[in-house]
Amino acid sequence: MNTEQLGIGILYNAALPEYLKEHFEQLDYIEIIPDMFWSDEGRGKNPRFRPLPKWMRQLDWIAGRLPLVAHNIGISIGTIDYFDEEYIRFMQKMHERYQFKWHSDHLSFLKLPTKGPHDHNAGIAIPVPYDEEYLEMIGKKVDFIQSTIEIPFLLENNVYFVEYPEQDYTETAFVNKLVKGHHCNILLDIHNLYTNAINQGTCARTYIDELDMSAVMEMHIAGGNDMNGFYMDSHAGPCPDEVWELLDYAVSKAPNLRGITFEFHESYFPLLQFGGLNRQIELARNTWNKYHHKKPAYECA
Amino acid sequence: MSARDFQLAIASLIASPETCCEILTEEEPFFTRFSLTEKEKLRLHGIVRQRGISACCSLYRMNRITPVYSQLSNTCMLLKDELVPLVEEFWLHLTKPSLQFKEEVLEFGAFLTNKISTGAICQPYLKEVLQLEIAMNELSYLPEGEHRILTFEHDIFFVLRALADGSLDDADVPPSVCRYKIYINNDKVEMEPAEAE
Repeated sequence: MNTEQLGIGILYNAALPEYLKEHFEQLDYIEIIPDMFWSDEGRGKNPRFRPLPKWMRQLDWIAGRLPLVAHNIGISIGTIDYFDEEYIRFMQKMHERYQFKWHSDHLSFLKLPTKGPHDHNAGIAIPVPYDEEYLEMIGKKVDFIQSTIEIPFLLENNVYFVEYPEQDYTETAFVNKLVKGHHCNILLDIHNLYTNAINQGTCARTYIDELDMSAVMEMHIAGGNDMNGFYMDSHAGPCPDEVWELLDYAVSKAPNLRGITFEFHESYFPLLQFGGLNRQIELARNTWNKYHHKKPAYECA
Repeated sequence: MSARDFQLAIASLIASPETCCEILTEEEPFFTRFSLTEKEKLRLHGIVRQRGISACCSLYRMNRITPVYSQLSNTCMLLKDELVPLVEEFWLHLTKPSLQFKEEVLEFGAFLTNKISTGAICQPYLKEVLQLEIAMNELSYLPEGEHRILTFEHDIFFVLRALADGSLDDADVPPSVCRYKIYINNDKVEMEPAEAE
């Protein structure tokens, strides 16, 4: 799939409408979490996915100005004996309407099947064990997703606080096998690498060296904070210096990168304000321009 | 079945630090609830011995309380120190949440309403503030034009202002029975006096 280079984007949240009214020209695209724009009424309900009027109006406003990218939290690709094809088909309808440039989800499981209309939500995205059994299971789901929604599908690397003993593969080997066997792409979350490096003592640069960087289509950057002796991937305001350094290293090795997305949680908007947000976008653009000299395909009219 | 149970077991550990302790103290009941291989049991033993499990449990609690705290913020402020014990009791009552904001808020609202009706919670104004926030939550999922009619026994605007500026505990809020029509107009919640039935 020949996907255009976009440039710098931001993950949409409830604090952004006012900012975007004045500053959307600063951005090349907006990434949305589609699950925020509808309510899942549960299996068997008609319609099952009910759009939220206020949020959909905001989405229509954005879609008239900037390209959109979708970042799901609800596929739960790592759940055993579970695959919500109805959810994927609804995503396809969303794509028909909004023409996402690509879409993604996490290499983890979040939902657990129940006999009722709603799934049991585990509360946090839990990494899958990097075992052969999971590789096969996730690969089949990736194939279905890519045959249903014909845009690139990206899997995001995990942040994790506990590690399963005795796994068949390392995370990078697992991801590389998925990429090679099922032609999916990678969303490399730089802040997740940084978080794991602090909490688990892993080496983020080694991770990047081991990963098939030709498959990295998007990168996430964010800030975090400390909680009870852990560094959390809380999207708490500006990126730390180390994240900018890692981003530079990763971008230099990613020839097929299409976008860098800054994520922040809406509750930290008072810390960033318009100026702080513009500064993060400017710093990301500096890195982008250093290695990707092509002018973004999209330009504001 | 085994891998599926393994995922259920991890989810139940993350949702409950007490359950993690069951494994640490090598109490068998935890493992009897799931069909697990020896390797999976070893993995669970390995997980609960890592310090990161406490971060997982904390994240679960933060994520689980977010729908309630964001949609019922005034209710939570009124509950003060009672909030956390009540939420923990609610979590024991609803162990398999969907974490759909709408469902979680409605379920917690119903749980609190029951507590209020049985007299288990005696916080003044709680019933009125809760019914207002539940109505606002419901309306946010409906097309504009829908409305709810609510009856308040105190000046609800006075109550909300005093709650916001921290003066509610010392305030003398006079009884004032009023019916209001609640609706959303241009993305904003509007309240206007409703005609008597």
